[in-house]
Amino acid sequence: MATYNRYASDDIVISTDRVSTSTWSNNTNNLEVAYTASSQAVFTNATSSGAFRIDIYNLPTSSTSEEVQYSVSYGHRKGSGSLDFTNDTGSFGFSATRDIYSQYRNLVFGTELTDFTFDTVTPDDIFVVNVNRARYKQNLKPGTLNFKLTGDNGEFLFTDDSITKTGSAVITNIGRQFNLVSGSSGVMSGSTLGQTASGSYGLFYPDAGILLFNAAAVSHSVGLEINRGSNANGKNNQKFYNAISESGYFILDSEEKITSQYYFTRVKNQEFNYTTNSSFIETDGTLSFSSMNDNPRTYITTIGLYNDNNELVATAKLSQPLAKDFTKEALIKVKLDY
Amino acid sequence: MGYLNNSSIIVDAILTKKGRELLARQDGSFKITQFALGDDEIDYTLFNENHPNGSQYSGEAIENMHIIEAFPDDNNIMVSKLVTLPRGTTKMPVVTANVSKVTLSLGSSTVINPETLNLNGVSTLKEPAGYLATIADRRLLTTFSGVGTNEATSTNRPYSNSSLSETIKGSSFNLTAISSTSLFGTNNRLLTSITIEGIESGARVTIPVEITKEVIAVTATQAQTGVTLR
Repeated sequence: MATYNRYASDDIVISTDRVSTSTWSNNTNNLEVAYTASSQAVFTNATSSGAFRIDIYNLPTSSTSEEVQYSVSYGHRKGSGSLDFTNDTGSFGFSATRDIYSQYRNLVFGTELTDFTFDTVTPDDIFVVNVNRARYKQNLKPGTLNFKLTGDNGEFLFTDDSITKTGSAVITNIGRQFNLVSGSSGVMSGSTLGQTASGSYGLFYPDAGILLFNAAAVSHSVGLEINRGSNANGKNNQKFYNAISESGYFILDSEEKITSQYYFTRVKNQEFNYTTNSSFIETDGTLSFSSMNDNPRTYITTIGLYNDNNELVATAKLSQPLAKDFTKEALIKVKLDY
Repeated sequence: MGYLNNSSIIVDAILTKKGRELLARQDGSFKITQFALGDDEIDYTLFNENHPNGSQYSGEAIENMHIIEAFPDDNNIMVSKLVTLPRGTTKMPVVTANVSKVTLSLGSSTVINPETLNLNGVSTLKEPAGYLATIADRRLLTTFSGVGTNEATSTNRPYSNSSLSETIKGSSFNLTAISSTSLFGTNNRLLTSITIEGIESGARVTIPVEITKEVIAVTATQAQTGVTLR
């Protein structure tokens, strides 16, 4: 007589699978329409939030369910394009755009001595699209990026070069690094990485959720005017977002590894043919149905998974009751995700 | 809680509250080693022995039932378990206890002594493998220990501001109520339950437990002065 059956070692199997979904809220494939918040995209003074980043939402902020999808920033190595925090001798150039450039430089290289280089060209400024952490599960999925910018020179489609590129990605302090190139779905147009005189278009960090554009190359190709004046309220991130918004084409998937444990629950013909269910027996234990005396029939609805202390740690339900008697056996595969 | 799609045969498990707690402890206590089968929501009175289409249709009403999704409360799922018994069994084991309800004042103790009827052809006996006792809210007891079997267990509980269950083994169980009134708030009594399950039989009985805020006066011995309150 028994209630608990032990799993054999080969009844428990671990499997890891990659699962990918769209990055944007509500599993939207293309973030065609997006919104900014007038309360956040503020450029009034040097420390206004808009000078550092503009948050982009999936719905108007008047909605109750809007969520930040990504943020757009402009960084300049010498602090141009934004107001100085203190515009005085000894603090010229200390501004929001310098904060941004330094911040990402330190994240990627771990040192202030290395600047962003895009296929041998080292420009002074960058645009950054930083995907909100809550939007992607483990990382962005290389090879799924389709990102359009529209400017004075027309519409340009960008992607990463993860499919074109052979071999492993460059590993940085924030994980894998691919190039941002002209092309679609991970395939680069042409064969030359330096697609402009200003170098390649940018770098893609899928593990950190960051697209980092070479501002010089983008402005040259797309036709985007950048204000690089000293102590100037340039609002360059807003110009970059306008180029994104006008095209209305931003497709990007995210992915995660899910580790599942499978428990092969084997129910033999001689087992589990009686139940302690109160409707199966009378108060003294007598079976309620005379026809069950010789051929009892039970119905499995629930599988309980226990540890050695008989504590119920996980449970699973069948979609329909499964009849069990002395002539039936069952093999139920129970999946537990971590 | 919704209904499961009955066109699907995928069985996904969810962690119970206890499972989450054990996983968070990271002490190896989460390891799944065994399974049991349950039929909680089946009402066997739906089994129609006199179905007009014949006995093959007796289970029609049960087999077409739409099953409710699993929920994480380990105290209220797997309440009735399927058990393995020899063919021809006509009487199922039934667990009984020496008390039908436990009422404890602050700091007082009691013993729950379960027995099993109809096990292995014996009308009344202690199950050799012992019993599992699960208290729904362990915070209400200072002592909750099993005695009388080799595997009698009792563990220290982690601090929690919400109820946590605990399962222990034994052939009888000692309970001592808390002495502090901090959990009572404005209430005069706290309620929980202990479910005792025969490890071999799978039969179970649930006993309500009531802890009262009552302060009991104890008669002082001759050498003492005043009254000791506890």
